[in-house]
Amino acid sequence: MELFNLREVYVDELIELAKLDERIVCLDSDSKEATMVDKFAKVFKNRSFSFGIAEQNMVSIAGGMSTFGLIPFVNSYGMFIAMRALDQVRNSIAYPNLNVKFVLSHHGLDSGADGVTHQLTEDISIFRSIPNIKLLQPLDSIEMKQIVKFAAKTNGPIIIKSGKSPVPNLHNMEYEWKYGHPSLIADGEKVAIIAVGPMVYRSMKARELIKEKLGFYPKVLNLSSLTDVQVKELLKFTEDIKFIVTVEDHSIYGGLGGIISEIFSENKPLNVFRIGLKNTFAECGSPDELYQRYNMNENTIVKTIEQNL
Amino acid sequence: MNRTPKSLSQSLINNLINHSKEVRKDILRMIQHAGSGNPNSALSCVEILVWLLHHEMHIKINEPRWELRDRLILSKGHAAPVFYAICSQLGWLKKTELLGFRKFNTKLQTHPEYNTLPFIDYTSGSLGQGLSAAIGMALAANYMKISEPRFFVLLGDGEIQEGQIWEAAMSAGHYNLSNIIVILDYNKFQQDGKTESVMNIEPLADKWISFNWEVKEADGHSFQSLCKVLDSFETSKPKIIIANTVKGKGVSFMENNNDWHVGGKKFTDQILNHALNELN
Repeated sequence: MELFNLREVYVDELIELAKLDERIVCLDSDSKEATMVDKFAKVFKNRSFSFGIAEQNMVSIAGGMSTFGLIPFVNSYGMFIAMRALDQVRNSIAYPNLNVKFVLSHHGLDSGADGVTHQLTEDISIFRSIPNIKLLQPLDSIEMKQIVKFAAKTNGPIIIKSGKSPVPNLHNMEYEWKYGHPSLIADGEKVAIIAVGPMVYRSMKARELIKEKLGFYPKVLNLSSLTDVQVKELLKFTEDIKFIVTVEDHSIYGGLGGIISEIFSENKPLNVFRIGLKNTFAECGSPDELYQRYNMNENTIVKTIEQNL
Repeated sequence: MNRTPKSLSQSLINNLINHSKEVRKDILRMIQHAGSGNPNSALSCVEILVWLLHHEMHIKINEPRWELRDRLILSKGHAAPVFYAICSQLGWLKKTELLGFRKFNTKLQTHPEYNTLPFIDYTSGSLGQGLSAAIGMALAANYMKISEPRFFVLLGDGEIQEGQIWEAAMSAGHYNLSNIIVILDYNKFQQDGKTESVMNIEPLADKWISFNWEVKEADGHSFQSLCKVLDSFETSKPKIIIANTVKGKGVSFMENNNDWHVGGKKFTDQILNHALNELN
């Protein structure tokens, strides 16, 4: 199975868009290599701006640039935008609804060996509570390309989570991504697994294990839009479902599990079981090791479904 | 860019003085009517903003978002009442709108907000972010090959305790942004007391020089001084005018009296009238 590094997919797409749109510029905070925008800098030297290790300054600078009609793409490790520069994101960008894009690499336990200080597991709950922000986590290269295009042409602050580990394509080439809409990755019955990012792939692994162990295939849904979720679409996919399991590389508080719990508590009584990081910090290790220790891997998904059937 | 210095005739100075007097009255009325706000930190920067908006800045009254205009970033966002009062003099706001300051369902937010009014160049209120925004504008202008605008940034003295200011100072020096002009309202006070006792910011000039800025000092209440200093800059570095000011300037019982950093309930009708009489 071919794997794609979504940081690279993003940069390649951005370069193509920038060839056609001179307003696109790229900002980084000593993170060119980590976010892979060094490739952009090689093609567009005068459109690549570095600010050293100073994310707060970079975010407000992006805001200033946008008032001149530019479309700044701000690139950084997720942690240092979501946490260190959060005041700037909220007050300098989101409040005046400025046209600034953020592409955040390295989040969740997927950051693995980079350690807890880089394992951002709170961003979904933070960003989705700030008005005007659109928060997106593309599942695969097919979604990433479309989402980068969407970000470039849609006015207002947009945050794209690009991750770290390479991922396979789970959508087919004809798939058309729509903001706010979940996508059905695999059909099934009884249980809907709703996942985001690399956890969708693990949910697909769990789906096979469930078939082997319990004799049925659960549905697997991907929710790459973490703001403005189209509730009707989601309800349609869960008409014949007994319960939902959410899976995310994020805290179980306020993230995908929070989004789904809120939607179903208001629209359709259905139990939601949340898999994610449970009120603890993790540690260094490979993503596989960490997902196992912190009960976030395919075995946890199987166990959760088995216990609640 | 090079500009011909704008000389100040005595009649022009008299005009600016009169404008300042009216601005002071307006901001006192606004803050007193609002029942809260920061009267004496507004009073310290009246001449600076009157000088910029009535004289120095290249703006078009009928086209507030004219692309080539000079920008003004009130990084010290709590100077908003001064700005609003001057906007009413320029015809951008009705005088009657001023009393809506800090009130429900009006445009005059406590701190300037980019999208509420067309003549606000950036949202501020969370201190320390405005200089970065100006850098973004200056970099954008350079990239777009627009050389006309200058980027004036009003900083408070307490505000420069924010770390982001120094991130920004470093990057303006690094990118050699000659069209950034900071005016530091150095009134020597901040919310909790004297700046030197809360967190000493001295040696001030040396700090900015070491970040590759050109630094000059001015009397922040003298139009001649502000004008002369601006015209005396010589290098292509970013520029800062350390404007020595008096907190509460113009109202005797507010001057250098930090009890008036916040107005609040003590700002009665009687006290307002007393202050207005002093200004008459």
